[in-house]
Parts: sequence; C-alpha cells; structure tokens
Amino acid sequence: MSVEVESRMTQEAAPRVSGRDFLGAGETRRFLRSQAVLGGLTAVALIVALYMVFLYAPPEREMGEIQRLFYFHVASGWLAMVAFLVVFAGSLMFLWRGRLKYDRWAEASAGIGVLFTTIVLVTGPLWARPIWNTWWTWEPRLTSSLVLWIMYAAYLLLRGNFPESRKKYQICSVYAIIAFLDVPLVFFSVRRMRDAEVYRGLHPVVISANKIDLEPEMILTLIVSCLAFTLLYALLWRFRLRVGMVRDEIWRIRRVLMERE
Amino acid sequence: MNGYLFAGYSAILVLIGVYLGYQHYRLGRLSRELAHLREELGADEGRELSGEG
Amino acid sequence: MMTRILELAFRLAWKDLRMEFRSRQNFLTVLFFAFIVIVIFNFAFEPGSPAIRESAPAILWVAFLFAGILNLSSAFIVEKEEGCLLGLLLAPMERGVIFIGKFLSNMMFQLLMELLIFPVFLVFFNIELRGGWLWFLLVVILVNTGFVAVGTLFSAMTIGLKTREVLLPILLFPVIVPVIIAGVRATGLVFQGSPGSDLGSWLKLLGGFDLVFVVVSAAVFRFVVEEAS
Repeated sequence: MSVEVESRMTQEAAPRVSGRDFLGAGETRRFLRSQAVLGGLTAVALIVALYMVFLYAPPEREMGEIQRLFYFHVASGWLAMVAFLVVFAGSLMFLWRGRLKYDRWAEASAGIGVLFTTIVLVTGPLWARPIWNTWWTWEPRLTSSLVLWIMYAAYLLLRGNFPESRKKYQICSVYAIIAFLDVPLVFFSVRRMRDAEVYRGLHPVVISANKIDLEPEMILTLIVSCLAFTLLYALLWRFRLRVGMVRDEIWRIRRVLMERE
Repeated sequence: MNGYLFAGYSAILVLIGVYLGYQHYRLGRLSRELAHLREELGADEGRELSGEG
Repeated sequence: MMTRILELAFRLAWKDLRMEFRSRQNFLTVLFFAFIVIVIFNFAFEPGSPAIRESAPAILWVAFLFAGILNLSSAFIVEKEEGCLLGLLLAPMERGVIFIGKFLSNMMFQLLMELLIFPVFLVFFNIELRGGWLWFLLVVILVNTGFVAVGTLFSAMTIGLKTREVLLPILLFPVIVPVIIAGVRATGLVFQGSPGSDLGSWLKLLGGFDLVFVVVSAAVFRFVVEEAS
C-alpha cells in the first residue's frame, strides 16, 4: 500500500484495540484454533452434503442427473443472500454507530457474496442448456440475480475508487443500503415484466407459498446443503475479517511511526 | 453426467480449500509483520495501543 | 417548519437554475445528446419499420436517461470547484434540505430537456398519444422522480472522483432497473391507448419506488456530503 494513501488515513479511520494482546500471538492462536474447529465442522457438513446430493437424493423424474446441480445452485444463492444481508447490516450499523469494525464486516462479506452470485449465474445456464436448450433465459430469478451481481460488483468497484477514509466507508455504506433496499423492487418489477410474456414458468418453481414440490429426501438434501454453505460462509468471512483487522492495525501503526519521524 | 457433476463439485471444494490455505498463509505473514511493527513502536506501545485508535 | 424547509430548498434550486442559465452550454449539450441518441436508434433499426415503432417507448427512455446521467454527472461540479460545498454545509440547515434543493433543480433541468425533446420524438415516430396526455405526464413525473432522487444522491457520492463520469452510470443504472422496466411498459401502454389495470400496477410500482427512495436518499444524504476532517 502506497505511502501517500496511508498518510491520508485519518486517526479516526484506525480501528480501536481492546487490550494489549489484541492481534498478538496468543490471540491469533486462539483465533486459528476456533477456525480449525469451524473448518472441521464445515468439511464434515460439506462431505455429508455431497453424499446426500449424489447418493441419497433421488434423481428427478424428468430432468435426470443434471438436476443435482440444483442443490449447489440454490445453496450458493442462499449463501449470497446471507452475505449481502451482512453487508447491509454492517453498513447500517456503521452509519448508525460509527465504529469502523462494522464497515469491515461489510467489506469482508461483499466479495464472498459476489463470488457466490457468480456461481449462481454460472450454474444456472449450465442447468438450463441441457434442459431447455438455451443458455440464458430472461426469467425473473436469473435476471434479478444478474442485477444483484451488477450492484454488488459495483459496490466493490466503488470501494476500490476511494482512498481509505471515513468518508469512503460512509459513501460505500450508503450505496450498500440503497442496493439492498432495491433488491425486492427489482425482483417484483422483473417478475411483473415476465408475467406478461412467454417465459413464464420456465424456471422451476419448486418453492411457492402453498407447497414445496419436492420429495422429502430432496428437501432434506437442500437444507443440509444450505447449512453446509452457511458454515462455509462463516469460515470464509471470519478469515477475511481477520486479515482485514490485521491489515488495518498495520496501517495504523505505520502511520503512527511516520508521524514520529 | 454424474461423473462430471461430481468432478465439478470436488474441483470447487478443492479451490475453496486452496483459498483457505492462502488466507491462512496471508494471515501468518501479516501477523508477523504486525508483531515486527509493534516492536518498532517499542516502549510507547502501551500508550499507543490502548489509547484512541 | 415544513414551509421553511421548502422555502430553503426552493432558494437553493433557484440558485442552481440561475447559475446553469448563465452557462447554457451544458444544458444545450445534454439536449443535443438526447436528440442524437434518438436519431442513432433510428439508424440502428430500419427507420420507420414496425420494429422500431414497437421499441419507441424504450428508445424514448434510453435517450432521456442517458442524457439525464450526463446532467447528473455535472451536478455539484460548480460547488466542488468553487468550494461552495463547504459553505453550504456550514450554513445552519439540515442536509436533507440541500438534497431537496439539488433534487428540485436537477428535476427541472431533466423535465425541461424532456419537454424539448418530446416533440421531436413524436415527429420521428409518428406517435399519437391515444392514451391521454394526463397519464403520460404522470408516468413522466414518476419515472423522473425516482431517477433524479437516486441520481442526485449518487452524484453527490462521486464528487471529486476522477472516474466520476463512468462510475455514476455503473452505480445508478442497476438500481434504477425497476423504474426503467415500469416506465417503459407504462409508456407503451399509454401510447397504445389502453390504460387499464396493467398501467395501474406499473404506476403503483413507480410510486412505491419513488416513495422509498426519495425518503431514503434525503435521509442518508448527510453521510455522503460531510467532509471528513
């Protein structure tokens, strides 16, 4: 990180530390231990999910084996939603309370969200092609996911365009909040647009208000997949958050050292 | 078909594992740098760290 | 107190309009750009064909919104350059008022630009407004309100950035998607002369969007405009 950018960091932008050992050797060891435990749990959950997806869940009547992609697709979508919820919460808290750590929550989560939205957008067409003989359909859920992807990729772009400062975090938080509030409106408008046109019903509507059109084994597999992915999210997020904290502290100390000279 | 899916899943899990390993490595490297910087900060450490930061 | 807020906002907006009027350049350029977009689309399609007539509402709004973005990109520039922004902020008024003032002035420029372009559009596309002028006016107001509200906020967010002109559309257009969808569909219905329940539902969507985002934008505006000391 360049010296000029560092020197523009205000005193306020540096995080608070709550004790002498914070980010020190002992505390880091404890963090890594908890991560290992979480990692172990995640690994187990993912393996169980994998087993269930391929061996436990029955093949779908019409679509065959490709349908198994569904579990991955939906679980990724779920993970992305969790990630963006955290971005929203972090941004909201930052504007409300002003503590830097909330912005770091959002920062750590946004990249994960974009990654898994990308996975949704890739697995969708991979599924659509064999089944409906088309790579892309402009149907509501996929289209909304596309807009979602664009909004949060724009968030990352926005973050990259500012030097580190409280103003940057405020501006990015505002954008994250607006984007999140916009998501339901985007979905409704796209869906209404599509209702009037030919593509209605192309995307399988397995979960609607009245019933779930899946066999019980499939539902269980789906739930387990989503749970495993939630653990995965926690694992990834904690790591990114941690790296961010250490990086912040390094910047802060470098600044203090520079001011001394 | 199943084979491809399974291979795809596994590949992604492997990539995730690689990414986690990378984060671990990066954390280690940054922590070492942090410790080094804190030493440099030296005697004022107590004051600097527990003050308004 | 409400009247005081409005009074302040109007004064700010009036100040903007007077400044802009002195530099008519900017406005004329934006106007011309909207015109060019419409012409280009005609060349991209087969001029006068049924295909382009069907796409008329879409082309209209693309022209309006792209020109509108240019308008928004240049908002706040004068404040930034002359350092008036700090002066405004020091004045004892709520940030929301500054937002409303800016919003109003941007709206006026936007509407004026659209008012001047629309006859040209009618001529090129041979449109008759069978659905009634009043409905069309309603659609125009609703679409522009949402667009300008979020646009003003984002415009303030990007002040001072080198990449401002590129970043503003990237930030704004995805968020504006519901407005684009609803606006184009509603306009199409009005052109066809069949305002029915469909039109009503699009208008409700636009109204909902406007309500949420005008309030939210005004509320968060202060976070975007405060200079970190």
